[in-house]
Amino acid sequence: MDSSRTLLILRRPPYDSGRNKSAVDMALALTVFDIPVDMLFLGDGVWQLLPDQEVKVTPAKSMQKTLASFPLYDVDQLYAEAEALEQRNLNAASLPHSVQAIPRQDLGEFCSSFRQVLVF
Amino acid sequence: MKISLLVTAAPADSYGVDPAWQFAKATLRRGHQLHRIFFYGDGVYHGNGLAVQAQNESNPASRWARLAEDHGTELVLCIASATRRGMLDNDEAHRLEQSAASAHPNFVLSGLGQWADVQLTADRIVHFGPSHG
Repeated sequence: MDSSRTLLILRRPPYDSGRNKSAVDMALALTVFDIPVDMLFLGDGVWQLLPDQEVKVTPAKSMQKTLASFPLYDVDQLYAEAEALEQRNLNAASLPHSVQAIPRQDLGEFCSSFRQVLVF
Repeated sequence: MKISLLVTAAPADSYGVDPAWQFAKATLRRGHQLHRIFFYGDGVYHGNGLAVQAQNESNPASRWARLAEDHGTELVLCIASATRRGMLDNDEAHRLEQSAASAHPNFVLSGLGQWADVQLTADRIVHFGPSHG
């Protein structure tokens, strides 16, 4: 892993607060300034990776559509906690985005490979 | 060392200890340079210049303002987070046709570019987010 990268960790379920949007806005702003970012989804945060998110009860934009635009900003690969996916019966290969599952025991080493880590 | 902070947690209530503030003080006491503090999301409430505390209690914005005056630290409220939460400086209050400015005058409203700049130039950044959930 390139040590100049910034990791943004999302651990909230979708649409429960503005924190996911804060993370996404931050990610896109950093890429505009040529700071490479990666995103890691932990715990209930992995729900954001689901397909077919129909947002009708909040004015928020669909997280699925937002994440689908990320390759335009050179954020091609997303990361998720393997146990969080398993506990929720989710399979990384069946998600609409390119998601790499990382076992919980390897997360410390994964995070330490980044220059900066921001948690939302 | 050149250190900058990202604060996304709202300030502690009058009875709580604010970890970002404690860390900032310790950083300066150790002789480090505290270049910029970027308040983002609910963190922008730290800049509320209209909060009034009971006697003998200081409010967060005044504490940060004093730090900025004493050490030259830049206090930046994310403009998108701030306007959404009613934290306006004079310019924004005027531009958005609101009746009053609410941000403490020692804070400036600016964009996420101010944070990106910090990421490129600081030796260390430290993020203070909500402690629960």
